[in-house]
Amino acid sequence: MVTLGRVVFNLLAAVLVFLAVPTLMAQKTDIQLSGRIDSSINMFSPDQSEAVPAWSALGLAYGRVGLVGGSQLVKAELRGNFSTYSLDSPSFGLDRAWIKFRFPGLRTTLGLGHLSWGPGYVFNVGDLLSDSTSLAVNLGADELRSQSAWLGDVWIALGDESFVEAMVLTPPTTLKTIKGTTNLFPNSIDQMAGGMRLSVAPTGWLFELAYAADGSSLLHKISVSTQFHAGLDWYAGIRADLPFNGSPSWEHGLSASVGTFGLWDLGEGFGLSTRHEALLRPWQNWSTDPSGWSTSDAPPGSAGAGRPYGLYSYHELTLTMPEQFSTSLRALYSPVDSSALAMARIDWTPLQALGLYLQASFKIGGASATYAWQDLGGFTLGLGAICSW
Amino acid sequence: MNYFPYNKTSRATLFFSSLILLLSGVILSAQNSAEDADSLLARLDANQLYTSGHSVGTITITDRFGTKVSGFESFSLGDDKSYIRFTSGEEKGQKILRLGDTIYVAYPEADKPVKIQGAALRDSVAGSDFSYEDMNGERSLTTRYKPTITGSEDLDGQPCTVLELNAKKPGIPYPYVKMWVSKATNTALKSEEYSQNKRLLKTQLVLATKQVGKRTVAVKIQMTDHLKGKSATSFELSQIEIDAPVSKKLFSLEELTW
Repeated sequence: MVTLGRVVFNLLAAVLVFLAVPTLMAQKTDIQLSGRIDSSINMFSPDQSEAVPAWSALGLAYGRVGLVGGSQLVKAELRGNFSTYSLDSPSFGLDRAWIKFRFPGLRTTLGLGHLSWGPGYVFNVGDLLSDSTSLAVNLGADELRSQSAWLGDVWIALGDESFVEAMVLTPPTTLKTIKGTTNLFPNSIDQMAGGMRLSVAPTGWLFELAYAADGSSLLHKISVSTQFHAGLDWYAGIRADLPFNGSPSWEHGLSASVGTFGLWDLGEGFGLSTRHEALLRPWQNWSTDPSGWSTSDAPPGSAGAGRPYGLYSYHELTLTMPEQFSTSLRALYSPVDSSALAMARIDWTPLQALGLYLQASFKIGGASATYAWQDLGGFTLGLGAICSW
Repeated sequence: MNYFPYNKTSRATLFFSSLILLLSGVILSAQNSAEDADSLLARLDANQLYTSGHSVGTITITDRFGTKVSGFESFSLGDDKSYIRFTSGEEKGQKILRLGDTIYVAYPEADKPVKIQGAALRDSVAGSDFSYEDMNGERSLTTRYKPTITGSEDLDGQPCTVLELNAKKPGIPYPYVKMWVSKATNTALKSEEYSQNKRLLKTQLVLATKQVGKRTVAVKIQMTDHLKGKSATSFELSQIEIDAPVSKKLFSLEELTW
């Protein structure tokens, strides 16, 4: 279904790019095409609650194609994606449609862009304007967090490695029915979000101080993040979400993320990398018993009792081998209810731009756990190919 | 705030610092082949360190997938700032910035740069036989190594003085280096870089040189990473400027992330 919102989005993207063309043509321009297609065949274990549980199989394809180009004064990117479960339900979307202008001392970005504040791969509380703490992550994806939003941004350099950035975001569209027609419509201006961050890097340490006001969740958000190297790469952030109305339960909005990354050359063409991250919400639930949860435990801005537990972690181990083989283990772990989502994968790159992989994922946990093995896809097995250019 | 202030009296490397270090043992010439090892190394340093540099060239990587060629443009300023951008080939759009001991890499599709640190410094640059570690650290050979002349050998028919360089302090990526310096041109033609336990890690071979002012500069070099196996990387400069004006603005995150 082609919605009004989609039409508006696409029109705006086209206009933005059209506006950039004359400027691009007036200077020496450089345009680059890139793309990636990931196609796989997958088997899923059944939902055990069904009367007659049966395994299922599914073909999946995901791809993206993008153009990025510009000059020393203006740049633009247009990137689209598609995904499909079958030929009957293809889905197309727009990931990027931004234009960036450069003026002496500052630059601005307008359009559909990527949000990536703060350090962190899976858990990143410093990413105030997009949700980089949710558990909705595809462990097999090449980009675990790639949120984009319609934004306006000003970036000012304060030195070789320091800058300040201010950004405003339009609110997400919502499905509404007006005069009998259901479509995506823009939201109230009250639901816009905006913020700014200061990033400095004295003596190799990176510090980031950020603030955002989010009209859709009615929260002030403040974070401090850091990134440094001490034997391993370390990064961490702490954040407070404070309700607009000054609720006394503000401490329930405290959260922190911490992570470390290590890389070792094992010799003879072997290499090992590890990544471990944790998300900590001290005032959230530390018990699996819902009767112990109260509405005051809910994070600010949420409607009712807080489901999120106080601690989650992410673990990754990758072994690269000669002859372009690699194997990796990735896992999201919920220690409070002792459940996990784990993925094991083997990759092989027999030709340049072509990758083949075999992956299996498991949910390990009881029926009411975050990751329940009885759910549909408690175990999945996939064989796929990736082409990138 | 400038964390890496430019010192006008500081010496600089040519090319992006990475390539410079690659060249460090080989773009050198000396005036007097009869000098002792320390004097020879000092002259090699004097020849390889520049106030600023700009070059354009190609990197050709040959591996199990075949041969790929990428164009690049590089700039250096002082002893601690360098910037390279790939202008063609598969790596087109990739940029590398070195500010002191900090290295950032920006990829065209990524929205923020990657800071290269720790063991990641041993990663290959753009799939070549060259690592980020090669870009880092001090440039000066005399600061890093204690030299010894071990004898004479012919290299491709050219009589050479053989130098052995031993690291003066821990943390040097290649604690032991063996270098062949031409007696006729006083130019280092080959170097072998070893690990602490004397395992051969990399070999650099000069295939062509060019006179730039009073300096002899290697303009075509082949490098082999012996740990990678079945691969080789050659660098060829088509354009080179030494001590030419270079904008300080190039050496910043603002330029890198543009």
